[in-house]
Amino acid sequence: MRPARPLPVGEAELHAYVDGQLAHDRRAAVEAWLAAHSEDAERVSAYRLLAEQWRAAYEPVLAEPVPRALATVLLPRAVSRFPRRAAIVAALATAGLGAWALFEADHVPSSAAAEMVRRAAIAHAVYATEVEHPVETWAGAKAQLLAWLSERLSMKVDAPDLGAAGLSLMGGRLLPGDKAAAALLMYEGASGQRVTLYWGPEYRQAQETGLQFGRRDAPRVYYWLDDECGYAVASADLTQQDLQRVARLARDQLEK
Amino acid sequence: MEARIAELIPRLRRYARALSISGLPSDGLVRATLERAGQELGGAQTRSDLRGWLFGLMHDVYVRSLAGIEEGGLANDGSPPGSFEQVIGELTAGQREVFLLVTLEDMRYDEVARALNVPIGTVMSRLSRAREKLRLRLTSQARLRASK
Repeated sequence: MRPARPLPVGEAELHAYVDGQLAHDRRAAVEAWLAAHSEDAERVSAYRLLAEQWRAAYEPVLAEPVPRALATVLLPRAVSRFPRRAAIVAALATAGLGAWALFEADHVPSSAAAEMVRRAAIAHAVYATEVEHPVETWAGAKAQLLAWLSERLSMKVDAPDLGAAGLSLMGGRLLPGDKAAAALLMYEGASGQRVTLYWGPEYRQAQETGLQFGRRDAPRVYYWLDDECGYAVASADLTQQDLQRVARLARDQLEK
Repeated sequence: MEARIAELIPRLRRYARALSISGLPSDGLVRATLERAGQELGGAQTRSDLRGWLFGLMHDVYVRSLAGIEEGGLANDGSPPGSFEQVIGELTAGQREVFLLVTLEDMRYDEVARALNVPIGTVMSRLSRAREKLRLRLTSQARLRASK
């Protein structure tokens, strides 16, 4: 029996070739066809270029913070939300802060990031106002502190040098996160202003976010997520601009 | 389930942004889609193809929204000439959807067919027409630039 003549290449197959959806056993036939039909080969490369142009033009949308109005559409309504808020208020009341109700993120790219921003804001509010015990371990034992936190978070926890912003490390503590351990490093400036750096490995994500503004009201929060950890820099004392500078300083050292 | 949908919001926004034509706010499309999703989530079904389901919902919302807008005058709707928005406006709604789902979402043709509820042959012919129209614009590609 003679080998079957290869089927002619159709329009649909050219597109499938462009999109990587061609059946494996037709690849050679399409490539042979393109080698012999320069007009079709030009179309194929034009289609590829189009795809690249469109992807490049709209890729940045993925990194934009999701507007709050969209992020909250699917949140469970009052029934399930209220107990959570009430729990936060109760926790803060015990911490001596009174009914400081809302720690919600302003810009919410994902529910995970929003949760981290909220936790970082609460941690800042609770511990940065502490006079006696703002930290669990003081910076005098910095090496031990970082080794301990690194072990508990199963990742290398480092304390960026924020001296350029007039801040020095006070110390840090271990915190409960949503499902795993988190860490809080605290910095203080000459006039007593405090900044905290929150480490939440459970909020890591493959898609890095870049530095994002997370919360407008004090404590203000900047954050970023990478594939190892979620980080949030919070302060009730600094202006938004100053906090952004501090967050950049921290991020530049942690993301190098 | 809500958390998995939340993870897809940036992709819904990207698609809506590219799909949208002037007079149709892209985040409004996303919002209406999520609201529909919220209503239908009440059922006990588990969605194995969450992405296909959501993009399918957006298709319904999109088609309905377009019905309220005069189709045809879209090419000269005030978008900057040569912008992505203006160029995509020259395609039919169906061509736009197929081209963007394949290009931005890397959807398989059969997934596109399911999401848009059309036969796969229709997907292929729309894709082919969309690409040919856009290819002819490539001559003016220097003028192509992103617009919101």
